[in-house]
Amino acid sequence: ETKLRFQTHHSANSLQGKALLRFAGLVKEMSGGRLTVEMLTSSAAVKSTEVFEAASMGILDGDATGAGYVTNKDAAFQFFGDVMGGYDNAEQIYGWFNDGGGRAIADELYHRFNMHLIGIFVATPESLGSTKPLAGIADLKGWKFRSPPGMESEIFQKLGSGPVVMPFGEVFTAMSSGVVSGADASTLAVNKGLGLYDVGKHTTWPGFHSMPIEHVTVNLDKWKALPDDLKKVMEKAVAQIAAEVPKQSAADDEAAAAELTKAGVTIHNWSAEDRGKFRAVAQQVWADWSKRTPLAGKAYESHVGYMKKIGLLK
Amino acid sequence: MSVQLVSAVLLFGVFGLMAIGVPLSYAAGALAVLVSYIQFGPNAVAIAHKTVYGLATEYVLISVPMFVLMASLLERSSLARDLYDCLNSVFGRLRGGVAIITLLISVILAAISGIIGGEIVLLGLVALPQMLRLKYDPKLAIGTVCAGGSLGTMIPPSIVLIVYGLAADVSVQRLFMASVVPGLMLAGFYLVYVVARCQLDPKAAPAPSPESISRLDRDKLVRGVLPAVALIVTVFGCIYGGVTSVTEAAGIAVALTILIIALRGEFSVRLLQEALVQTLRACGIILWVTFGAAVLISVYNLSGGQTFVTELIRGLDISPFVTVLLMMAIFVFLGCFMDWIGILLLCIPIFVPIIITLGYDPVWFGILFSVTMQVSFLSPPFGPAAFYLKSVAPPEISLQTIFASLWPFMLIQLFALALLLLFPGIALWLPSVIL
Amino acid sequence: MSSQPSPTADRGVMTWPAWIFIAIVAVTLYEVVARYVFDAPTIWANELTLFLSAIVFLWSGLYIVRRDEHLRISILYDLSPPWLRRVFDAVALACALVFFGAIAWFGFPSSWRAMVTWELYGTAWDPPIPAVLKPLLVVIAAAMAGMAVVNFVRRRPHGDGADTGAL
Ligand code: NA
Ligand code: NA
Repeated sequence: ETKLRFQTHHSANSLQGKALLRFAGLVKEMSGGRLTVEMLTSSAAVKSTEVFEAASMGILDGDATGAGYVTNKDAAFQFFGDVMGGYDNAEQIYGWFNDGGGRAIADELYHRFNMHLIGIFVATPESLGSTKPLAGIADLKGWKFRSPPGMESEIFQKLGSGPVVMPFGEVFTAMSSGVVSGADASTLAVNKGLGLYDVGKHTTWPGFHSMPIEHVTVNLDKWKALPDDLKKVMEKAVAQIAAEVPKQSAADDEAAAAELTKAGVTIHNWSAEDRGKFRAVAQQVWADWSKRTPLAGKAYESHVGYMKKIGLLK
Repeated sequence: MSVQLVSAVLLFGVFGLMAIGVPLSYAAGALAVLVSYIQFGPNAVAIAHKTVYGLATEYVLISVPMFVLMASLLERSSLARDLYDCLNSVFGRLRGGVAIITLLISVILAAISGIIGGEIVLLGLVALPQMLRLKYDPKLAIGTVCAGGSLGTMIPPSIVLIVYGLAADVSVQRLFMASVVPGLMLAGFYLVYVVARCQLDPKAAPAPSPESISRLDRDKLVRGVLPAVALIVTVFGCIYGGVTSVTEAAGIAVALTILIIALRGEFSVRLLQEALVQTLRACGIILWVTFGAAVLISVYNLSGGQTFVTELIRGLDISPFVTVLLMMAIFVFLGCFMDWIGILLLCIPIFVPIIITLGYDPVWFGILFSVTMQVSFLSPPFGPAAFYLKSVAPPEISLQTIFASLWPFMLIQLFALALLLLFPGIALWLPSVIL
Repeated sequence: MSSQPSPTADRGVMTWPAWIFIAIVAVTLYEVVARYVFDAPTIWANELTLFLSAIVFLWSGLYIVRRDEHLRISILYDLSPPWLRRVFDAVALACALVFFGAIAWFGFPSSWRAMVTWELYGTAWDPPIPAVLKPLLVVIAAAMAGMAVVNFVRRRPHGDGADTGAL
């Protein structure tokens, strides 16, 4: 009987948090109680940025945050955390991961850090929240917004926006007072839950700028010590939530969109042309990141190759 | 060890070590290290390093030293004295007038700070010596400073409500709105208590002196009240006028304080140096207690603390309202030993889904949580408000004296909590009107 | 009585990092002016203040151990006879050694790795926050453990003057 302690930064009530708790439940059920996953939520034991390392060192056993938190360890993690402006939906990302070479690169990358990537899952593309209209790419010029540090700020800077670095917690006061005009938090439904649209009455939906990949990873030694059937159980459990989350997320977004429209929030659905322009600028930034480490280059090539194959890029 | 045993070891261990005078940070940190070693082996002990590193690089903490620095600067300038002399000459005719003013200032400060600590240090350095100088009952003065200063997280903006909102998936803006009336209500209760104490107990506050009223001199008004008003108005404007974030505003306030002191002709490198050293000292005293407590919480959560709390609540055949009461009791009890963030991370992920299932509003529950955390700031032995005040108070005021001064205010907080439990509308009315 | 200088008169080397607070104020001012007046927010101001403040936060602990001023509740301690105080002191020392020792010893491997691989913060500005602060914490914790021993030895078994840390 084995017990593994995982931690996520998502809250127990969020879409992703619930999915991860369900993952823990599925593991227990499918293994007949031989394997238990304890899923700590809301970064209860270790700070979000430190979960990956904590799991690789054996403080925890597993990390269920996202590779976006560890891009400082290898730039390649960016391509496992969020290919910003790249894909349109979860299926495309799963396609890249399973058929486009993502899996093999993941093994090479994660094993270097004594971690194993069991699987990934993705919700719907995220929505921006803003006090000013964001009808198209032109509106990004001069738009001051709270941006998570990293690739996102680089892309938006190229488009003439002013990314402001501040802790997410300060966004609500900063948006009401006008220090920033907008913020990037999560999907439409989650943003609504957080009250982002109580302070900003404009949003982009369906989203395009970001679709973070959630990774479910485990300490490599712990992984190797598991019998094969339990490894299969964990993989199957992740695959199950990976199938459920996008559907649930899309349904949540639809419901949120209806309620937000009623509440007077303006939803901006960008034209295909503007989405294309955004992707083109984003690609310049991906290319820049691809030069930072050998594995980043490899991951970038596999993404671009797959996007060309499915027609997202020419 | 089972999680029950871990809970007991940590609880009694911390208590025992504290009782014999072991510094709080050593006690919490050492117990955390031992438990992590026994529970999970040597690999897990690195959590101590990780937690301290993680907390030290937490951006919101920056406003703590900024507030302390501002307070230390004001204390060294005669600005505070001039200000209080003026206020006394205006409000001196009212028994307890200066304590009342201190409470009003604490409400204003609460609107420009979102953390616990900065405000207490500020009032502790600026208001407390003035009240003691004017012969106020020390306990009343200490209680006013600690309870008033704690309002920083009760009145928006508030880090407690922000972290609650993020952990419970509740609109932070809605929480802010919902906390306005309860926050002002609590401040109002403090005010009533202070006025009543001063009326009933002649030793609580100096008698109004007619001569002090006539002594309002224009020079002190210009030098004392004007700069203080300018400082508060500017910082207010910076936050609500969209110039700065809340944390940045604290830095701006320091710059402005230095400017004012320079304009008053009091500035010297020595003054600045002394204020900086005092800030360093206060940071060390406060932050390392926080670090030690944080490591303890991390280890407890790692040991399955959440499971333990779940077991406490589930399986009880009690009515929804009693369930809420039980949760409040847990918050208040844990508040004696733990930091608010630890209680939040431990309980909120478990309690909020239950609250929602029972049909209660998680916004209302967030306000209840915030009020219980007001209690936790004051309750011994782990009372952050007392710690903050102690870090800057004169040496003759011991931690024991501070704690002994706080119980009337804790009773008031519990009374406010009861009102909010019985009348959720106190919290939920404003957001329903505005949002 | 204590030979320590009063808190505010202390101008020793150990107080020098306190000037970092002024740097934090300056950087904050710069960012606000750049963003509000010139509409050009920086990508570095926020992280620089974070970096600087973390350095003083860690240092402040060392400063407090040196002054033997950590927060404690001293009712029982003050009532105890000198020999018992000595026992309590020993328990406190043991706790300090366990806590600070664990930070230093068990934090060393990952801190070393962060330093030799020069681990950056992973943001647009990308300061070496982990590479510098993780090892710094190890060093400071080790120094705190050492100073706790010094404090223990220095405290005389008799007289109230020994009780420098009681708050
Ligand atoms: Na506040
Ligand atoms: Na308490």
